[in-house]
Amino acid sequence: MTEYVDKILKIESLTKNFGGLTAVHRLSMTVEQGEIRGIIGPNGSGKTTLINLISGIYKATSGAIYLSGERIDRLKPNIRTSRGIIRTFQIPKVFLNMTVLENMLVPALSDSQGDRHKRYKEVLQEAQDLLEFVRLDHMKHELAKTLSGGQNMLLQIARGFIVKPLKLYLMDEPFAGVNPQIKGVIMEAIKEMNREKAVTFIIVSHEMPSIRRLCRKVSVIHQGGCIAEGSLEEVANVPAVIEAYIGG
Amino acid sequence: MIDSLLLSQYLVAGLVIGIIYALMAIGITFIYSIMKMINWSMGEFYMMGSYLQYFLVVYLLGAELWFLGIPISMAVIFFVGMYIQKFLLRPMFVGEMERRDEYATVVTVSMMVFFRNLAVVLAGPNQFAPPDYASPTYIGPLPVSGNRFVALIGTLVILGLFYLIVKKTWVGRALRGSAQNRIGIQTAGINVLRVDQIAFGVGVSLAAAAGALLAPIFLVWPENGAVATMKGFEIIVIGVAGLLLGIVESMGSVLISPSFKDVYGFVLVLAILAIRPTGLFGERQRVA
Repeated sequence: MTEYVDKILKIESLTKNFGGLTAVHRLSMTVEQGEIRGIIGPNGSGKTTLINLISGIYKATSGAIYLSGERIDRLKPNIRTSRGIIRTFQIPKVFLNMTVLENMLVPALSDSQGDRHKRYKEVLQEAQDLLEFVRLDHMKHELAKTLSGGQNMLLQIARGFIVKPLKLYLMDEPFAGVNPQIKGVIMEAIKEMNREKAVTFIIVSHEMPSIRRLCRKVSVIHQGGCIAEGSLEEVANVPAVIEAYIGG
Repeated sequence: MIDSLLLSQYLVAGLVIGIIYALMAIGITFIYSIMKMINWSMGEFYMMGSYLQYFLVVYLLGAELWFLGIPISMAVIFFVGMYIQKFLLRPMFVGEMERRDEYATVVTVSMMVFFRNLAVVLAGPNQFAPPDYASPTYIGPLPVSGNRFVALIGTLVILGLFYLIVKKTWVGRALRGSAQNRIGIQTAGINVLRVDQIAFGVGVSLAAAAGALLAPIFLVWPENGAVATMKGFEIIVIGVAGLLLGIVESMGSVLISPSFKDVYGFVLVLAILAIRPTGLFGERQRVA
């Protein structure tokens, strides 16, 4: 196991079948502690399925996933969260009939958060600080259903930051349908949490400019497998990647 | 001709019973909203609540301490519900089961048959009546049955507590979060199976509370929950105007005939469904 410890995430020959359809096929990859890794690929290549497998929404058909050396692919989603994996969804999964502040407090209920009654003031303060961090503090008493799509994405991202410990943050299309101002806030939040708290990020996105600004390394997924890894410029010259995007 | 005082009296009696039926309806919708399944055995938890209350008042607490029986019955049924959820219903959420709703229907209908027959085996088919909770009293100038008045107050207290727990506590936040987004709550680190267990316990304990509160009015017998369940489902269709149900039953009894008391609610539901198929306060949803 020690060989995996410097790698926050190691995926070994991961496969996910849905009946006769193979969405992820013998995919292997590693992610270093403190990295911001981009996951790119054409539509239907298996990017979101990969995020669902790492976060535990789907169970893998075969293969293994290790977080800091611990095998996690058989754990339930909430246990994976308590181990430090948090995620966002392309369509934000916020609690629409709760206020913005209440949404922030929900992860404080998780098993890993200790004595929440003693920590209430602390958690409340942290939630308010994070809302300020993503510039939603002025809406903290509004119901989430009154927020725009972009604001709900910000809320979803900020809610993840309250989880302790936070090791690996999986983001599925965080920039999709978001206005440039909110996009800027999201990018700043990612950079700062990576720099200040050493949070590792895996970002699935079609937004190449944002990926270029955030990620030194990207993995290209095609037909459920990882076909190339490297900087955006490096993978752009790989024939298999060109073929995947243009079609052959 | 019925004088206005008598009419008002029936109106109040109907209103009171409508509020109490709401306990059943809230229990059913609470479980449905979180677990996305209908508990067809809800009436049997009502029945167990009424038997427990009868047993406690007659054999353990005495008639004066009847009010202690209500929280005790609720607590016992809460834990019974938690264990039933754990052993019988949880498997439908573990693994990738298809047709979860059908599984839930089979399990809860089986529970309904089992508990009804268990009651017959343990207590016989007879009807039992616990001693009255209170003597007749007045709401303003209107005389009202003491048992109904007590049941009304008890229901309002329980609904108030329920509201506080759901709105203001950590557990309440988790319950609301699960109802609003089952995937979102899991990825926020919450054990949704544990939340289901609490939700099922709370839902059936509300039914038990209704059974215990209504025991002196509708008596204690193996099938007393069947009618209560029907009322609960009727109120779900009618929506927040569920109080209408009690009033319609009460007024139908006095103006037409008490023999068809349970029919009036169905007629009301059918009329509402004919006029507004989405329910009185339901909204049309875009399918595609």
